Amino acid sequence: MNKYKTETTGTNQSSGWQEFWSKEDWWAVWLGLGIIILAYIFYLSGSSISWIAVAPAKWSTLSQLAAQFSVNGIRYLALLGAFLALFTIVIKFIGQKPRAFIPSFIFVFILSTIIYIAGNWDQASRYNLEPPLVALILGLVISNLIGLPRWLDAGFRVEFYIKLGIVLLGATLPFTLIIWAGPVAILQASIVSIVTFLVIFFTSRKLGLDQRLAAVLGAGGAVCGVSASIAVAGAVRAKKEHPPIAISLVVFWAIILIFALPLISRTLHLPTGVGGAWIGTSEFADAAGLAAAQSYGGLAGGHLGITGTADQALASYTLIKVIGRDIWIGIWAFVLALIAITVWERNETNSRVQIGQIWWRFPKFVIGFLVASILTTLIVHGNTLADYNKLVKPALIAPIISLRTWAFTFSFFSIGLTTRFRELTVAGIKPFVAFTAGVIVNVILGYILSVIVFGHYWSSLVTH
Amino acid sequence: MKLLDFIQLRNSGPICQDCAYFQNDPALVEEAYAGLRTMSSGYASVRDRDGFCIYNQLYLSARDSCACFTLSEQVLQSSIIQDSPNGSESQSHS
Repeated sequence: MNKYKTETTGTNQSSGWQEFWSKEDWWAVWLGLGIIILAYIFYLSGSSISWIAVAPAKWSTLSQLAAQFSVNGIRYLALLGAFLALFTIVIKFIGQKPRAFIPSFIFVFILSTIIYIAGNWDQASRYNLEPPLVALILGLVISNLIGLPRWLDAGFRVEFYIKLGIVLLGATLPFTLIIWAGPVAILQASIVSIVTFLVIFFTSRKLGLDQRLAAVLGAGGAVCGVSASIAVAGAVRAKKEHPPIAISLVVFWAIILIFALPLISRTLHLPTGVGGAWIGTSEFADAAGLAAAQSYGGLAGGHLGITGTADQALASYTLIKVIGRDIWIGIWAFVLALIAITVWERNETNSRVQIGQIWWRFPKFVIGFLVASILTTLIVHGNTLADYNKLVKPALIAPIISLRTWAFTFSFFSIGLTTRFRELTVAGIKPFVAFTAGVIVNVILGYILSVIVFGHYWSSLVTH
Repeated sequence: MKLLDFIQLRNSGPICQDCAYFQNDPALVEEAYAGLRTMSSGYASVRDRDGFCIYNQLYLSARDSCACFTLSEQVLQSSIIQDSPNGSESQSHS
């Protein structure tokens, strides 16, 4: 410990207003809502943004694929240019280097296009080529076996891409569904979150771990993974070495659950809405869970006999994860900070908790998700189902879904690219045991609530 | 013990963000915590303005404070500029 080190650098002196352009959450809101509003303006003028929101169509032979690209090649270049222009602005504003971001993003886009194409091969499901898992595995192989220069990390912004995708996802979920299913999502997620937190916390304490480390681990397993761990670490004034322990454990288990939860759901033939709810309850990070939920939703209607739709998996997942878990992080941080100063020993800092952190730590992208849902619900309101399917969906909703899929693919691929197992902090046996106890309880309780208690509810979600 | 006595709207005294021993650059936090950007981000709202106290070796909120507060050179310089005849009102902490 260097108590006498003089002036440091690297302090971000941002004010309250600067949050609007210095945080990825707000940029996901601005870009996501901007895209939706632009799509609506085009729709009103009798046109559509579908030209630029290009996506590979189903194909069965390489000649078909070549024909697709000879016709649409310019559209892919335009889409790359649009993403590059918008994202570079974001990168510049949040304080990163566009010079490093641009080549990195081009790399992400090209590989994501290949993943997207592979997912649309008509034999893809036969070979289990589910795009989210392909993206993740490809990223893991590149980062752990091949290796990339460190400066390329600039374009692997997992959280930004996933938040943009979730805001766009809001545009495809009726607000009435959020109102209808939100309370159940909150109830289910709260039960699991509280039980999981208590299991990890008290197991940690039983094993002799520090209270603050126990809280950081518990939040990571119970609320929203790495984001919750880092938020609670700041709130309870964790030791500097505590967060990396929780981060390593969350990443380790999240990667396992991305594959395990869809696989078990598939073995049990869970309806997609039920599988999505379970993943939303038991997976840790937003991006990891979305990869699992989208992957499972993609199995609907195939030869495996899984009922439901892909949209149901995404809807139930998002309701539980975003509405049931993510939005409460500020409350968790506040309550744990209060416990830290009133119950746990506290020597180094002052002795009061600021209630403002409930808002300061609120994941602001959720605002974009809700506004997007309200906007499209209002736009679509008044159309018959026939009109919706014939006019609104192809011109307005389908291009937004296409852009959302791109954003998710960038994120899933970036998870793999940024997961370097050898760089993760060695957590130690005690934190591992405590966290794993929470994972086991979380997965079992999540299954009971998603499948047995609320299964009928999640399998009957109406997503249009 | 009254619980409300431990709650305040915001910290009105000198805060860690202005301290010489505090570092919260998101890029620096991402660099220090391998895996943070894998499933979260240094630029996420949930992280608020948290950072490292290199004096106490803690990870804590920029809005926190402690008895070891030392005004950072950066804040001191900006206070001097604002106190100059062409600057606006002072924002320095005493």
